[in-house]
Amino acid sequence: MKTSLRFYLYGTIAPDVRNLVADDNSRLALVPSSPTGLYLIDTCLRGGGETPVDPHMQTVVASLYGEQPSDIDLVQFVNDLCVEGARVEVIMPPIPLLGEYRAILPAGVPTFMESEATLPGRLDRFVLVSRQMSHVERAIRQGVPAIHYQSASRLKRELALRGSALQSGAPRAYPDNGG
Amino acid sequence: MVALTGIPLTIYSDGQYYSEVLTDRVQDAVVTGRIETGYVHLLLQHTTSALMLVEHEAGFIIDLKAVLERVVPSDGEFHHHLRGIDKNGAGHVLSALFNKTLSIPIADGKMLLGTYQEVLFMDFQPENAERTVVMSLFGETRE
Repeated sequence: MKTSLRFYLYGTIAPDVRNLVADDNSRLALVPSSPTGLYLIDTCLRGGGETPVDPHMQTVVASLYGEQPSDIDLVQFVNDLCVEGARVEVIMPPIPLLGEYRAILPAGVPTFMESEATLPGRLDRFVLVSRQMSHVERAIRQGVPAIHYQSASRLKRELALRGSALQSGAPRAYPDNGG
Repeated sequence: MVALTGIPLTIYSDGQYYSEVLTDRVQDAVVTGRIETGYVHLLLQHTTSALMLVEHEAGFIIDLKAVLERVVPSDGEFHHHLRGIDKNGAGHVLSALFNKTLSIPIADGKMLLGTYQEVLFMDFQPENAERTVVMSLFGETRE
């Protein structure tokens, strides 16, 4: 059974990525969210538009914020997942739903209160992804699962591991057998 | 058989357990050096930092830091400080517990690392510092 992943992607999108995504707006759309250069990727891959929430879908939420410019890896990463047939949806970030996470967001990041009303509120898991180890550490120390972003391929592998653990029920003690 | 030695790899460390995955940079050097079969040797030229082969997972990094802090508290008393030059006694002790060199075999132009193994640099220096890993490549090159 394929692991379904739901990604909430949120980040600073570099101009080159913005252009790249704009060229392919049937699959991805960028919604300018603030004058500070922060953008949202705000639509669903594969079909676009609003997609009803599947309550049975295992959910992994990834958030990238305040980072640039190799977010181009992120676009490639999402595309790679689509090629593999994984179900990937990118919608507004659930930041307001996650009050405790607000504290770990950098100053100036909008709260996107409008998204609160539209989000499913059925998050199985939130995974914070950041290139900044200090953000990751802060999150983990608050009990928030987090991944230190190194590359798209490594992020993909880590999310796949976590998605697999979600799908199999209780997390396995040693899903990778120690490598 | 070729030997390419003294290839520097610079790391701009923030200190205080700063960690950085070097795997891709080392693999890039293997590709640039056109080594098909052989091995890459890494030497970290410092005494308050370390090289590791570990899974780069943030939770593990935090766990490792927690364990090391318990064993060698960074605010502990160290005879090294009596010299009056610096306050990095914990860094020296921690560094001594880890590798400063790594040798990794290469086959088909790729490092033969385990699935989850990453070449990780970790710095125990209390403050930021520029660090150097010297890479050496040995082996047969591609035609």
